[in-house]
Amino acid sequence: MADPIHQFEIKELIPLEIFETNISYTNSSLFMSLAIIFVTLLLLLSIKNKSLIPSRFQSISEIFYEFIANMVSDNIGDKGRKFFPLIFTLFTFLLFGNMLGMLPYSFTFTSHIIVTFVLAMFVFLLVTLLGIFIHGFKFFGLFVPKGVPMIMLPLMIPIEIISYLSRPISLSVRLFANMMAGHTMLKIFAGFIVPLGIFGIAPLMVDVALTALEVLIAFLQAYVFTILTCLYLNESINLH
Amino acid sequence: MPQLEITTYPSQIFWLVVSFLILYLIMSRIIIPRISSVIKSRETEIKNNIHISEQMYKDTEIINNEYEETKKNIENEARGIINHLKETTSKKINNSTELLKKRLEQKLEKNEQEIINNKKKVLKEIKKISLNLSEEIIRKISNGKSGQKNKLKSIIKKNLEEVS
Repeated sequence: MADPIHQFEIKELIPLEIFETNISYTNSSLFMSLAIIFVTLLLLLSIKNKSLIPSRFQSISEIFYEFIANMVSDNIGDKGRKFFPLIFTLFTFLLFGNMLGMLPYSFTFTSHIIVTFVLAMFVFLLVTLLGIFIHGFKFFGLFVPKGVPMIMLPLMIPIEIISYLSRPISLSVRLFANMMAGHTMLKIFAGFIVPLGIFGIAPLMVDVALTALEVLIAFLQAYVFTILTCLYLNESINLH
Repeated sequence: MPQLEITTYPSQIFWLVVSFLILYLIMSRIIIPRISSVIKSRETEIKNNIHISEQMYKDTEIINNEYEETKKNIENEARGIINHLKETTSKKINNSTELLKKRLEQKLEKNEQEIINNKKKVLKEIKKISLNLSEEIIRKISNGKSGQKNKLKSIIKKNLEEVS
């Protein structure tokens, strides 16, 4: 049976080294590039005509735009306008990374903890620095929950700080684990199809169903990552 | 587990940062402005159309008011004309009826006068005729006796005067 973990292996395509660090162009990098190219082409071509009444094709980019714009304005408000391009980029990058990963024999770069962790850490640092920059020392009032008796505060504040610090971990692990688990499961079921012969139809059906589920999860996880980023940004911009 | 191979991390981080930056630049510089310009132009177009339709609505209201006013004016005018006509016709009718009445009265008077005149004439004639007749009768009766004749004549005359 094929190794279900094998699909996550990083393969060097173009060896590259700077300052004695290996930064080779790998299959992961390839799929990042493909995601960029694909999303850019899709949005660029669909908005090319700029018609007043959108065609179905043009609606794609408009729906993307309005989806993210609503997400930003609902969760952050008017002050979130500056972050719209960032949220938009984050969402499209993750969505197309996840979706490209659904193609057979492709690679899912979001199934690597380091990728999601760097993104989550970036969001975490952005949110923290932004909060301190906007609100100064008041930002740390975030760790003091409202309506809690004074006696409880010594207990509550550490809990709040720990939960705040664990955000990048939860954010990155949620995405990575979902992607990895889904793809591993698909691969395991796929591995049963041929050895079982005629009864292989059962794992095949399961795989078909799982594929649909995974497409949903691919969208959902990109959405969750993005909306959590919005919520964190809202906290540091508007406190509460 | 390939995810935990630390040797691949630098490459992944590097290419992630590069890809994300490139995508961010593409999105913020090219794609988002284009999409937002399309959506904005649509919004302004819709706003313009709403504005125009509001203006048109106002215009139609003005026109409608004008129409109502002219309608009212015309109605009033028509009513005035009708009233005027009614008055003049009734006046005319009255006038002509009065005139007719007058004429009728005049004619009636005239006829009455004529009748009276005729009556008088006839009476006079009757007097004359009766006088003549009586004279004749008297002459025939008396046959030349002038004394009696005169006496009878005066009696008849008296009687005649009494009758008339």
